[in-house]
Amino acid sequence: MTAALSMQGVCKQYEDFRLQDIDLTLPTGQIMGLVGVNGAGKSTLLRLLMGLVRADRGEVEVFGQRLPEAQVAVKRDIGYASDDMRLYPGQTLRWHMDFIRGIYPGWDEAYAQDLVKRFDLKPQQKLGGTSHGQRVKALLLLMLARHPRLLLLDEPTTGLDPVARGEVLEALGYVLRDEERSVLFSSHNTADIEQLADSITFLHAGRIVASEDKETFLDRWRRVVCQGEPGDALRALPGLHSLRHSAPIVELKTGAYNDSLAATLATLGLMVTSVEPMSLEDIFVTTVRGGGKA
Amino acid sequence: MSWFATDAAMVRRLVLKDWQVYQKQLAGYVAGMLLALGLIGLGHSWAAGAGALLLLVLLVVVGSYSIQTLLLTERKQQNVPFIMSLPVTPMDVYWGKLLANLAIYLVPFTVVAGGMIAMVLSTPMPDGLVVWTVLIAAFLLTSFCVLLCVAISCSSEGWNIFTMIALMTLVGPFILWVTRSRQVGLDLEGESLVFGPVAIGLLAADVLVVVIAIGVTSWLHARKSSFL
Amino acid sequence: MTVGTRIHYMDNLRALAMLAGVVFHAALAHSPLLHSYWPTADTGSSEVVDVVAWFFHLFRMPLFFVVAGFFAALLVGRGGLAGLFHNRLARVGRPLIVFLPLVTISLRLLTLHAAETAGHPSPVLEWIRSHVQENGALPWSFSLAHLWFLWYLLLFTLLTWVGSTLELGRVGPWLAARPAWVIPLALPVLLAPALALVTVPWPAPESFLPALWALVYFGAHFALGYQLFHRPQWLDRLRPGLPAMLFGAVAAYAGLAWLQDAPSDGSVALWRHLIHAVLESYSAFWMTLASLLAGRRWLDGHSPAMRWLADGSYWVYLVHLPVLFAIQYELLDVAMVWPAKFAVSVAGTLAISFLSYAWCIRRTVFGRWLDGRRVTSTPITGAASEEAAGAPKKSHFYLPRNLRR
Repeated sequence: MTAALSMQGVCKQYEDFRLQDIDLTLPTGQIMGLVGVNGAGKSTLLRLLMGLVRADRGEVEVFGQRLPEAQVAVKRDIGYASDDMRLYPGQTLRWHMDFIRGIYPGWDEAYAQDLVKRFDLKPQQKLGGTSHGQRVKALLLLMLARHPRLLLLDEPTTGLDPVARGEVLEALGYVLRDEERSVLFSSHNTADIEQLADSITFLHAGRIVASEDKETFLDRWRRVVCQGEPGDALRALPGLHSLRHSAPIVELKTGAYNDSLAATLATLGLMVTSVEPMSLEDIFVTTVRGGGKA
Repeated sequence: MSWFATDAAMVRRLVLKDWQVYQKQLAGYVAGMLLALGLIGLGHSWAAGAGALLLLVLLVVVGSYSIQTLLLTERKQQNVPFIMSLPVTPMDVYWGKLLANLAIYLVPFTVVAGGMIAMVLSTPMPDGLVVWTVLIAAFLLTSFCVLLCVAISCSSEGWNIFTMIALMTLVGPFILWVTRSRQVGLDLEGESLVFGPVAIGLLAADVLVVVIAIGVTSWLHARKSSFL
Repeated sequence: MTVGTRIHYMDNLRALAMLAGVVFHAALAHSPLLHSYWPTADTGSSEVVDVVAWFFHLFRMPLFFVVAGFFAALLVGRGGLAGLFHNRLARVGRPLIVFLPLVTISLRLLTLHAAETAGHPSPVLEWIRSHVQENGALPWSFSLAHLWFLWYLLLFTLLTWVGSTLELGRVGPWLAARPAWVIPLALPVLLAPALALVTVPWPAPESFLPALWALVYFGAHFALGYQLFHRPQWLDRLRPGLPAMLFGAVAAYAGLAWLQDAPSDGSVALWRHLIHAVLESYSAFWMTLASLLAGRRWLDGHSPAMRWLADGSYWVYLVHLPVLFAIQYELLDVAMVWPAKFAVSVAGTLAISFLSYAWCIRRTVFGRWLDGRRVTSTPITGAASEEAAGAPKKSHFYLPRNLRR
């Protein structure tokens, strides 16, 4: 399967931030969720993939074309939306639709009208007088109605109320049925990523700390509750991210769970009382608190 | 490093987009200009003075507001990421902005300057006033080009406001100087239309300043291989 | 009103307003009011001319601009503002550029020749003769002549864009919701200050510099016509008031004529002028409305004769003044009573203008250039409506004039 995008050894240095050694590949038709705290480098990574930023080192390719050199050709096939992107408040949605339609030959007016209805938008209303949710939905409409092959979404649901967020996710879910379409989207809301993504990439302090298939990723994380006394050997256990002790209960969170863990813990004097899967949010928080090693 | 846009059709779309974004204000200015021309045509000296002043104010305001709306406000409103996401290069956007602002300014500028010159030539007013009109119009156009180039090159709102105010404060003294100074060699009351060496020198200086301003700005943008 | 509807009465009213202009300009040669200012002023004149000619002149141009506004709205409905601009530049801007030099040069040559040769020159010709004798030549004075209406049509096209962009059309529904008598009673008062800026009766705004009064006064009529296209039922609501408007218009004009003759002193001059302007405004506006109502009532059918006149009236109006001046300069030295001279000049001008239209313009490349569409002898009934309604174009069908200009 050809890669929709790939980054090899990419570095970008700013005055107070450094994105380093980024190796990332997104196969065609895959949906990748990008998770990271504010300032982790998610937006910079997405801007590199749009050709808006030139990498200091390494190679950035989208659809096999180098960026930023091929940014014009590549951007014809990318739908990009970021939380700092705003439409013209003095103009109507219809005006924006006509503007985009003039640029992209693949504009699908029937689909656009469908999205207008589904998002409950008013094409003749000036965007300045609409809610933030309406504006985000308008932005997504402009992007989706031209059927881009790759979607790069930087915090697309930030600031949306639950209803609007649900509508947006539903629309994205509909779009993502197309197996030829690839998506890389970042979000604070790990529930969104858990709901939509095929794979997950953790970014922390400018580095990728994990990037793999969602099921595999979630599968190796567990919250294990035991009884006993934790010793130094337990603290050195591979994959251990969190350890809490409230005698006689010991709670540990591991990113390297396997079926032999209970036996290993038993040799360390701990008796496992429960093993629970972890939500992505829990994993995210645990990873960040643990210093960023997933 | 390329000094040119990659896609002329895209630049045309960006220019048209800016024209549409600015259309409402421009419509207001056009109405104001017709009112000013109507005042001049009333035939009273006070009305002609008020009309000429209104035209001058409108010309200055059209320029500074187009820059304000199409560059500074666009940045403040975070419309730039939207434009950057389109299939454009930094030079496409640069030429789009430069040409859009020039077009928006040059339309009313040509109407007003051309109208004033036509009025001087077609009425009993002394033809010497044409030189005066051309010098002031050229100064306003040069000021606009400098302001535009600063606004395109520099994202600092403070510097842009400073440049705007500095150039605006120069307009009044320049008009006064051209009107009163004998060095310019103007014969405002004269029937003949003669551009003296000082007047030609001033016009040449205007052209030079415009060429340098646009040249430097284009060079700065041509060096950029990516937007950010 | 839909954009595909054929609107005979507007087409016909426009033609009548233009042809009335030919008669009016011919009458000015016998107007005591303009005797000192009109180049073809004849020795034979009558106050009857002033009373009648100026009465019709009061509302013929306001009526023309109402019709122009109406068709501007129709063009916007068909092709948007871009369509309006394209149409106006081709049908109004291009003729202005071509005909203005032709008209002004021919008028100048005719006038210089008359000043040199006329045995009974008008005061203007006498002045020119003495000026040329003293200074050797007559200086050029730039003027739009009778083509000023084309310039204002272009300005109003620009203002249509301004109004549309600033969404001024929103005032239309609000006004339409008021009682029908509000506009006929209020608008003349609001327009009177514009008329008060100039002499009574109003002069032709012949300068390239837009005249404020003309922008406001004719612009308001243009805007009314524009709104009328979208709200034709407003006119129907005025129908019961037609007799009152006709009576009021004549009464206001009579009052104006009476006041014009009354003696004045400096202290009341301004007030008197304002009252003149108000009376002029009422008379003109009510007659304009009455003409619209009458046109809708009696001119809204298809008549081949009216159609032919309507087709030719644009060309006739463009070229009539040099033709008229040529005839009237020749008549200066002819011993004839003024009504006969007037009849000859009108008949001669119309005959030459219409014949030139029939022979040289209507079915030639010039006609296509002027009107934008080839005209043949194919019957027009049905075809025009069909095409105007958006049916596929057929090579030789008429496009209704009202869609073309």
